[in-house]
Amino acid sequence: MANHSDDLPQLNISMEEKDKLVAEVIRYVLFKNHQNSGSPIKRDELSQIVTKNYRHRNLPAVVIDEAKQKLTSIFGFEMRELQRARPSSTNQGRVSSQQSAADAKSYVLISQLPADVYRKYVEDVNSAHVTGFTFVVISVVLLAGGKIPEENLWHHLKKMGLFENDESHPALGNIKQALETLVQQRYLQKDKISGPEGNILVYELAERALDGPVNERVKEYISQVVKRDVASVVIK
Amino acid sequence: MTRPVKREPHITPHPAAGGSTSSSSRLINGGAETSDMDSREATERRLLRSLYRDVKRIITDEREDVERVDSDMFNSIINQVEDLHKSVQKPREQVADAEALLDITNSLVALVKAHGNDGITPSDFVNGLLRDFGRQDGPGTSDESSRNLVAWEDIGLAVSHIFSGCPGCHTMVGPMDTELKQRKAVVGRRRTRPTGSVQPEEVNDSGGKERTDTDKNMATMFSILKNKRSVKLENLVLNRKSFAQTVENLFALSFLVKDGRAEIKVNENGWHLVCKIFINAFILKCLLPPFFLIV
Repeated sequence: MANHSDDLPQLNISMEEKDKLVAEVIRYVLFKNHQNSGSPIKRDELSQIVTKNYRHRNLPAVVIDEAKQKLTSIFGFEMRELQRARPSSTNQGRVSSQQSAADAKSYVLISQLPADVYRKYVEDVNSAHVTGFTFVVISVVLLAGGKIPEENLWHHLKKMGLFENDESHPALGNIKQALETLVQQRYLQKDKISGPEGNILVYELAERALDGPVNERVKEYISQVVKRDVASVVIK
Repeated sequence: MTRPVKREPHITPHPAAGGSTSSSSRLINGGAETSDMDSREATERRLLRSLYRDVKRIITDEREDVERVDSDMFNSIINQVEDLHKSVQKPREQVADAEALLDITNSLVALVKAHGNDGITPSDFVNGLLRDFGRQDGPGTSDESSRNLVAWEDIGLAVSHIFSGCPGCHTMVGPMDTELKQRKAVVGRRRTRPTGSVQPEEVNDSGGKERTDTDKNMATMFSILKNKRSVKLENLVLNRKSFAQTVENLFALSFLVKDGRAEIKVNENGWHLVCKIFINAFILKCLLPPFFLIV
């Protein structure tokens, strides 16, 4: 990785000032991650911390890169960059291409601990039911080809005791709200498609669920779940 | 599979439809027969549309069977639709026919997509979850047990490594975007009395009335001094029943002394005596303007 300290004279900023900016970005990421319950943090928000007082164009990139390194080395967190590659069809034509490109990048924090250590020491039992619901919904959409009409999704969820108008599920509370939270966290995105019978709402996998490592692990666990039932299923 | 193009049947006019009276009566009878035919036709069309609705319901309810590779359901449904299609003549039924075909096509598309996932369908996955993580609750309301079918916590703990979320930090300070609220300056409200306020009229010459009293007192005191050549101070000013009057008297005396019309002396016994000052008329005439002459 490039040593950004060499760029400091060109950026007209001292080491202390740069360290201060990096600290502010790291602090923002840590607290925002908790405040948003793990929803992605927009790159634009991080850039604003830098551009509030400094005008150099390349400075935000330098500061964010160093913040990524420090989060890894100090906290063991990976600040994973996600790109919103497929804007939803409802937004097409409304937002200019420049603005959508600027808003497209976002970051999520992912623990770099090994799976067994994470499961033993970090995983929060009190929020495990939300993780389970997230996995199940992503899996159903993935197996439906990455896109599923709302009606079909609820058809599968009903088989597991989750109903659209249920606001007081014993484990998950308001089911519709729980599904909406997945959209906010960018695991899913909603699209409206006009069909012969009017507009149909379709759920599609978003960038966070399409992210390489997450997608692979989801497919792996799906195979494990189904493989136990059908012994003859061939796994590629 | 090709389907012949459906066209509306050509209705030939009744050969007896002419201009004579007998033909008109035959026309009326023909009209009644036509209306009977129309109602029969409408009933048949209604039945056909109902059959199409049943097929669509089967496609939706038995979706999993339709999507299975080894299932015969697909063939059975297609044959049903083909049979119904032979009876289609009007646009409304054609629309129902097209919708049934669309539903079957969508099911096929889902089947093809499932092949991309090693043949695993969402239904297979859900069945696997219910088998591995399904709950078998004890006594409880039937409504609650029908909703609590899956151990969501167990699934979450099993797949926590997939997402590996970070807990983040928080403090007791509060939200990040909290700003110190400036205290609003207290603005006093003008309180109006419930009753009406009355302002009395101002009296312009109130000061003059007091001077008149003081002048009267001075004139009275001076006339006393004229009669009695010398008076004890306490006898002149003191009013043992009214302190206010005493102060007024002393005030008047001070004016007399200031004007040089009276003097206060202390005799050998230590008594304070007030005497009138005799001023030579001639000297007074020289010193003061005429209207200031005191006699």
